[in-house]
Amino acid sequence: MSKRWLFGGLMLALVAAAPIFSLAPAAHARPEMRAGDDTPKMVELVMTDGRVIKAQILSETATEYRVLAFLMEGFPAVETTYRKSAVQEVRALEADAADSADTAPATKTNDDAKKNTSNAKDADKAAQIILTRVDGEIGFDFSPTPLRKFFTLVDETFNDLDERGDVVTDHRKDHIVIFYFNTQTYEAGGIDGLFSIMDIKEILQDEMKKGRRIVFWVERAVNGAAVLPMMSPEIFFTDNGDMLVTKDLDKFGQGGDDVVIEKQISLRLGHAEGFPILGGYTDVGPQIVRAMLRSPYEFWYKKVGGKVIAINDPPPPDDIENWIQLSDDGKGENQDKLGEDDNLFVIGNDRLWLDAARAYDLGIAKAICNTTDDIAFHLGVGRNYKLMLEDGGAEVFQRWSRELDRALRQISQGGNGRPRGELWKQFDKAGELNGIQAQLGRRKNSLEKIVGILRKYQEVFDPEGQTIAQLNVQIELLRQQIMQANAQN
Amino acid sequence: MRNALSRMNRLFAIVATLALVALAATPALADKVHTKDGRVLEGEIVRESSSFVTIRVKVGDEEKDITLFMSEVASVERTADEAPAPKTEPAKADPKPAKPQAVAAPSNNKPAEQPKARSSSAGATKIAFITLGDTKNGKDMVGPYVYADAIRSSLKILDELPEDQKPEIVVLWVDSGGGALVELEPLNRLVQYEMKPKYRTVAWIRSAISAAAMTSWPCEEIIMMTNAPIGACTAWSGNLQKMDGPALGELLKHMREVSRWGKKDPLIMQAMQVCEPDFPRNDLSADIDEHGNVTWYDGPEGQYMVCKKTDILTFNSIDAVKFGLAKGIADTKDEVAALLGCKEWIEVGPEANDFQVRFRDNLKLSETKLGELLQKINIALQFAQGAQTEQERNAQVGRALNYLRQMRAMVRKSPSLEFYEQWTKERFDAMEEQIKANRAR
Repeated sequence: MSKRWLFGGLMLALVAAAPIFSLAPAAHARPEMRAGDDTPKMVELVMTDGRVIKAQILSETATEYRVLAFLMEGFPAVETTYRKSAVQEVRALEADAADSADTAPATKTNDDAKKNTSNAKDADKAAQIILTRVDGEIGFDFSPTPLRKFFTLVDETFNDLDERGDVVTDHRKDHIVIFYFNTQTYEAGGIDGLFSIMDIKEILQDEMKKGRRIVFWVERAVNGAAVLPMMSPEIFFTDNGDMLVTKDLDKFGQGGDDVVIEKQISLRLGHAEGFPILGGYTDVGPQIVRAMLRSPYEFWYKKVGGKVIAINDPPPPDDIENWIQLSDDGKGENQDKLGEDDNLFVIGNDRLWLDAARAYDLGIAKAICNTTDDIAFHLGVGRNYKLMLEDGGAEVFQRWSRELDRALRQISQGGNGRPRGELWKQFDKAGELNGIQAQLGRRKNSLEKIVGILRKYQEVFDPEGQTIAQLNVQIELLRQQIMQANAQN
Repeated sequence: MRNALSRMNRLFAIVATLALVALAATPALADKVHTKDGRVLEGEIVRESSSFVTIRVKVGDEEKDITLFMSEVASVERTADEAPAPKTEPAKADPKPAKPQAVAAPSNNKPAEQPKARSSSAGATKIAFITLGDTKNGKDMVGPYVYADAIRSSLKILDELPEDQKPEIVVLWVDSGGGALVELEPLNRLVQYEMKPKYRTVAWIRSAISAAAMTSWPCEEIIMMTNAPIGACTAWSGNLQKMDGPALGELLKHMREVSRWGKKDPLIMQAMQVCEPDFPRNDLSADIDEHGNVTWYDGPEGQYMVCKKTDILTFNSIDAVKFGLAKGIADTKDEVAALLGCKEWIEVGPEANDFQVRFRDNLKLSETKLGELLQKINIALQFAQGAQTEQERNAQVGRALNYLRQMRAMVRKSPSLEFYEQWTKERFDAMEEQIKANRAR
């Protein structure tokens, strides 16, 4: 075994700490917008709708404020305009709020600030970028319904579709959607999470087919989320960015015959390899995916004439010095050794861990970028771009997450650290009511409400409809009991 | 089961005929509704909202109003909207037929020029597309969902099309994660003996795992979608228990025969089915000459190691093309047509695919509802048995019979359930007798 990276403890802690439904940024450092000394003072805009927005007022007219708004911690500031009628109060902040925020280098953000200010001069020609964070869990927070709504918002914002619903040719390059990825699929599922991203893949594929430019900016992408960005020909990493899979397919399942387990592994590899092929990484993508997913697949590469050649077996001994090995077969002496605390998630080199430097060297990442300016430069729009939407459209996903959270507070049956939902509590307490009809009626009513919520969010909570079917039977039973009770009275 | 299918056939034949008559009987200037499945309804739009459009079409001497949800509609043309559609307007299922495709796939596997679908059939190759399975919506299991009798019904719809509308090519668009091996032989024989003699039959793979890959195997032409897998054909049951003994021997023998039908080296399928240590098998390797011809080796001596003897083979699209299993990669119908060498093409027989879609939808609904209805029957019978009055008892029995009727209706629309879930007429009859026995005397 060669080098090991013991960052697993940190990773586990981050994953564990991340609220399932929250799209709020994670706590660790990331590039973000901060104000420099030469920029206007920070204020708080108290909006009439109750929001309080930290901002720098860049200019003002009789009716509007033009501001650099710091809408979310960890998110680039956005130049936008608020009607004065929507602002209840402007409060000066004692200290520069952004300075107390996080640890990103100020130089980068000063650049951003200047850029945003200067954009106004040639706004008509500016490229338009929607930059949205994807945190939380793919398939739950980031799922088909909010994603479709998001792209509707994107279309409305860019207003660039032709009569067939395709992006007009003139704007296929300069209207850009960037997904900033700090996300995973269900951790315990390992790469099986890719089955929960198939619908999302199709939506993104449809958008790309209609000419929408979709870019992934990866801070962390785990399990199914690790292969999803590979469907785009444009992937960027932050300097601490990485893609990884938390479970070795070679340790698939428990029990079963070897040949059937091989089949299960093979079909998963087949599905996963399709993602980088979709993104055009045909020379290295399938090899990368195999090495990420399964330990016996080694990863070796070399460059010939600038082109990367990758293989999953050791190269011929007489040529081995020309190859770089990133993962071994994990067998015998090569097996990564777990530490004393084997609960730690340990990344060794039994499987390929795709960090930013490797992704760039292998041609998966087009560049390593820590600021919006960086990525805009590498996207070919230079500094002449405009960030669209106050929050990059994140509200669509946040609203969905909130809805799911609210729904779960109603319908959760309890367990796994989640309290029993309100509707189930009502169901449980029905026995306290006077009269059998009232008790049965309350129970039936609770179940009907639960079914209603399940139907609304069926894609997440009950995609196969089995729970709904079971509850319908219970409702039928209660209905009959009520009829019987009524007849007896 | 076959009676039920015949009834459905007739229904769809009537629908198809109505659509065709509507096309033929339309005046030169008329409103047109282009549906997403490729049909064009011509007549007068009599009602319209954001969610639906109703068009009055002429069928023989009669006028008929057809209402379509906007989700089914690709576009609407009105007489007043300037000139009628140009003759070259495509009539294919893709709602945006004329757009350039932007697919990030290796260009060397894609046809350089894509033909455009046409609405006029003169000179254009006629192609029918039939979807087999739908993984996205969980309607993909070979057996219940990819069902030979149902496909035969789609085929019958094509067979009954007027000569000038019959397809020359039938593309089976496969999207399944596998299923019941018992359906495999009927499916293979259907393709080999009923489809291939009449139509150039092509498999277009969105996902073909296990029994789905084996279903595609008799097709001599396979086309992959960019991110499609094909393979992983190991037979198993229960808790990942392998198929073994004579049953496996028969299956391997059958697939060797099917490989011959599909003009494929049997070593490929063998590597998809078995591996060491459970079964003796050699490495699978291959040479590729300068013309792209592939020579397979039952051992490691080839230039390329395709599948080690300890692995089960699943091809991605790139390797499927590289090793000659597939003739190319296509993500749109236009690209498929180009790979098949069609300079111009027209989609025909969308009703054949409509049948599959409806068949799958009905089955999915039935799968969920049958269990629910069965339990509701049990509840009704329990209450019948505890009823205080004859009237109440008979009411409950009536309720149970009503649920049973709903179950029968569902199975009529989803005949594969007769075999795969044993929802046979005899079983229903017995249940009915049992329910009726609870009536008050």
